[in-house]
Amino acid sequence: MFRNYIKIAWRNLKKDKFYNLISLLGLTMGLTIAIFIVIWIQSELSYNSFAGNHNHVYRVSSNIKSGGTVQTWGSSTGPVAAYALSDIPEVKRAVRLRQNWSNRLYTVKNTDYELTGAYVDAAFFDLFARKLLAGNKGDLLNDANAVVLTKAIAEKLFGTTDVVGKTLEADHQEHYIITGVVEDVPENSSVAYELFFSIESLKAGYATSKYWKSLDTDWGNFNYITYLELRSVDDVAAVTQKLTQIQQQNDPNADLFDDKAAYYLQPITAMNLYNSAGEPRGINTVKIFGIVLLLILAIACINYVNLATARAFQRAREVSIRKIIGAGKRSLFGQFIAESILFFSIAIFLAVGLAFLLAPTFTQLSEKSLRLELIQGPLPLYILGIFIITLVVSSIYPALMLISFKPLEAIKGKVGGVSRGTLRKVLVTVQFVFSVMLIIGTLVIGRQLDFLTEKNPGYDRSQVLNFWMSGSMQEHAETVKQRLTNIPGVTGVSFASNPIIDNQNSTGDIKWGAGEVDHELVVTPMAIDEQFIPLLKMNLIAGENFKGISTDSTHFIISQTAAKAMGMTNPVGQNLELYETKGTIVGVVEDYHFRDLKSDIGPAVMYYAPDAYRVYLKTSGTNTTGTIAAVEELWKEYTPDFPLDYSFLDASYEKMYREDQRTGKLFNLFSVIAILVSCLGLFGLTTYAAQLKKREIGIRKVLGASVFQVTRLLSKDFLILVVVAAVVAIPLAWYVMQLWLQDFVYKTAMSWWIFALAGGITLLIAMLTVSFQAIKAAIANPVKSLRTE
Amino acid sequence: MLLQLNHIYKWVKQGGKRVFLLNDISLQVEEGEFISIMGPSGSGKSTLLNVIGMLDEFQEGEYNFLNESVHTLKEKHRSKLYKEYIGFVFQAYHLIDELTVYENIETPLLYKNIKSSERKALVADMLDRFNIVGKKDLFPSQLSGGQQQLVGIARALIAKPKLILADEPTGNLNSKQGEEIMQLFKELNQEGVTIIQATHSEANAEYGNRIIHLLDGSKTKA
Repeated sequence: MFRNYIKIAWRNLKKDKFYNLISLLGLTMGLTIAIFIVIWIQSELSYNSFAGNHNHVYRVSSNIKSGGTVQTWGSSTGPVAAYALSDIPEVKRAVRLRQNWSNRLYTVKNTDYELTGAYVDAAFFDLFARKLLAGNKGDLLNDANAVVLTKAIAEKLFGTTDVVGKTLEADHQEHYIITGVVEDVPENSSVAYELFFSIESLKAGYATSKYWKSLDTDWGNFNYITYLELRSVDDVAAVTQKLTQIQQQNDPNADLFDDKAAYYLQPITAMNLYNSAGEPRGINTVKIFGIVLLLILAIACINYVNLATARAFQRAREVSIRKIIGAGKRSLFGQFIAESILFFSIAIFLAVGLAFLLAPTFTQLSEKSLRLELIQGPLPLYILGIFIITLVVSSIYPALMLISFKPLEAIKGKVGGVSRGTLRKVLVTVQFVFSVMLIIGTLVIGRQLDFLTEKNPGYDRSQVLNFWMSGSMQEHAETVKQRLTNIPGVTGVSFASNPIIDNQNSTGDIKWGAGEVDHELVVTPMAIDEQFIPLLKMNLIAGENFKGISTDSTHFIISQTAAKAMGMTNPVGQNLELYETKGTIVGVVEDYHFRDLKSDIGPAVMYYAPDAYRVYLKTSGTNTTGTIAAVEELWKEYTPDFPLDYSFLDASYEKMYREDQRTGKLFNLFSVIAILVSCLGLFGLTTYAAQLKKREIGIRKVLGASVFQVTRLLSKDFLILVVVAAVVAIPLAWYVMQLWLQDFVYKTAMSWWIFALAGGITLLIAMLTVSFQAIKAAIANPVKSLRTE
Repeated sequence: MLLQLNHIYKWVKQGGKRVFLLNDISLQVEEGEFISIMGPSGSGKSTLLNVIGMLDEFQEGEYNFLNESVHTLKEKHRSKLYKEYIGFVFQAYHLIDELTVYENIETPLLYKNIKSSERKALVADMLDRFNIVGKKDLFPSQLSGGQQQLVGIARALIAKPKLILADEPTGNLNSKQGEEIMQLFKELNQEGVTIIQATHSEANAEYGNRIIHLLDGSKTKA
């Protein structure tokens, strides 16, 4: 019986090529996009999930008081892990990690490699479940000069994993002994490093004679990411409380922390979607993509249902005959379900194939190496799930409709009608509601991205080349500055301590006014020289710039927000103490964004240093390549061993919003597919409507109706649905998009014209689709259509 | 007795008035009869056949088929009854376009859940009997009208019905093809199958052993 069903289904497929092609095209496109979204979401949600007991592992964030509020930092101090391990029984493992930013270049057999490394506690490999491929587990990171390589790096550098005991040269001066090789850390992780150094080497910097005696008691340096593996997820509150207690008792600057909860334990699987304080960051995008997934699947399913039911009248005769010659409802139902199964199987097969073909494009678009793993992993299950759900949702209604025909009526051709079906009208409307929503989403995201690039951050970022000086260069800062100024194409040179685009520096070591601090304040400090403010065209609103003379060392320039935070109405001339240096405020600079626009503008304090490490070069932009070449030449003179690592401010600025740009690009794709699939369905429906109304059109034309009148007759019904859809979609889209905009502190307004434009675009596309068939029907010779009656 | 109609009335409302499609029809059919129903277009021939075939309902009267009172049966039961005992032949053949000759004939057996081997034998017999073995893999569109009607009859017969209802079976055929079909009905009737046909043609009506004349839904005396 089933074979028989499939056979008939196949013949039906071949017979009505136009209808099936439209239906299949829509379904395949929808399913392909759905597969990509599923992979993308799965990748987002599986961050750090390779770690053995990842549900029990937390990152410790520090809650630091600042000007009456609390700032949460993703980093913490060395003692946190040490105390957690010794004093808190609920903690099973504790690991500190500090990126190795002092070494950059590693050399094996005269070949240089740029690799990323981190200092870790030895328990790291247990906590993140990295299998040891070579070496002795007991003595991996005991020595200060030990290093563990990942498998990929061992093979890249040495061609083998049999490397224990060999030497790795760093920056042409230090030498590390390789003590082990571990399996690679997946990319989708917060600990995706290639080299692991011993944290012991950081302990060497401490001595009993210094203020901080040892790493395990240094409460002052927030250089570490602390990972804790708890015995149970129920212990989070208890551990947080104990950590707070320990901090309050042992930290000499205990009051710097929020005394209610000095720390926040964040699940490591959430680190990519929430910020260090646990506030949503990427998660809203994931949610929105989840919604998009449902919308696109719904659009594809609705297409299938609409076309299947519209076509049902053509099959009514067959159903009637079958009923008369003995078919029961069950067997007819089985037959139509079998047809859907065949149809959906072809679609999903094509979709998976297409996904494979398009994977590189999609990887490029999403800038994520998304892998289609059909043999292992959960993906085949998800695809099967999508297949079954869409199949069930789309096939049952048309099948029930088909088998419900009364045999005698159907055989006389009394059933069917495209425009009459109320359900179909609702479905078309729903489909266009979704399409309009996606178009609005695309427009809002596009506007926000424009807003980000056009927003004045408080400084001029055009044509500013910047890089870190090397140590040997910095020793001759004055000469270097002179020589850089002389390079043709360079119109200004300035040195500062930080990148202005994203200055992560912060300190609470600040006093002002009479000296008594009524509240803690965390400011973002930056050392600059006298050229900095003019070079970046920052706006001094009070006082004056540094002069480049020795008295500048006790002068400060603060931002508007800093002035407000310190309660100063007239800051110039007031006392300020930063890093134990007492001085006076000489200028106030207009607020500028030194973080991305997802964060509020914080208070900034600038102090004077003529020889800070970060170089800013304003270029004329006429011969940029020549200018860069000259800078590189200068760099090589001082630093022959390293290549120059430079960037342009505007490029770095854009890079900050890379993730959002990606979301924007993906959204473009999704809404194009959605509107395409919806219009395919509409095209199919109009075709059937035109077929059904052939006779009516013929009669009207004979009676003198114009082409326009006939076109309107056919288009009107559908276009009304699109208008209704636009009206329904607007509030829904508004709600979803303000969810996305929540991530940004500074955002574009969702003006009315975005909604009007989205509705207009959809209506226009729908009108083109519908009128194509309508006009075709309208200009046909009426004699022909009437003769066939 | 195969079936009995007692005072059957069927009407539709048009502008508040009843328009009778069947007006007080009583009819008794014995097994083995060959009845022709005659009358002009709109006289109610097809309606009567559909009522007998249980495809259509009526408002008043009684209908007994093999001692079951059809007018009291539920839809499900009724369709079971006609599927079991009645075969239909249509003027427009009503073959399934997507199925081959073989498959068209086989389909009723599929719905009766008859085993594959038995199906094969039954269909082969039928093809043989109607001399269409060579056409078994063709689709309806590749056949002439007469051949299509042969397949239609074969399909009606395959489930071994007691009664064949034929609505203008030769209406779309030329006279020679029509004659062949009527000859076939005659043979079938001689083998014991009860046949009721609706027809316009005097000549075809003569194949039957009883003729019923209809006009405006009522029986008239011939």
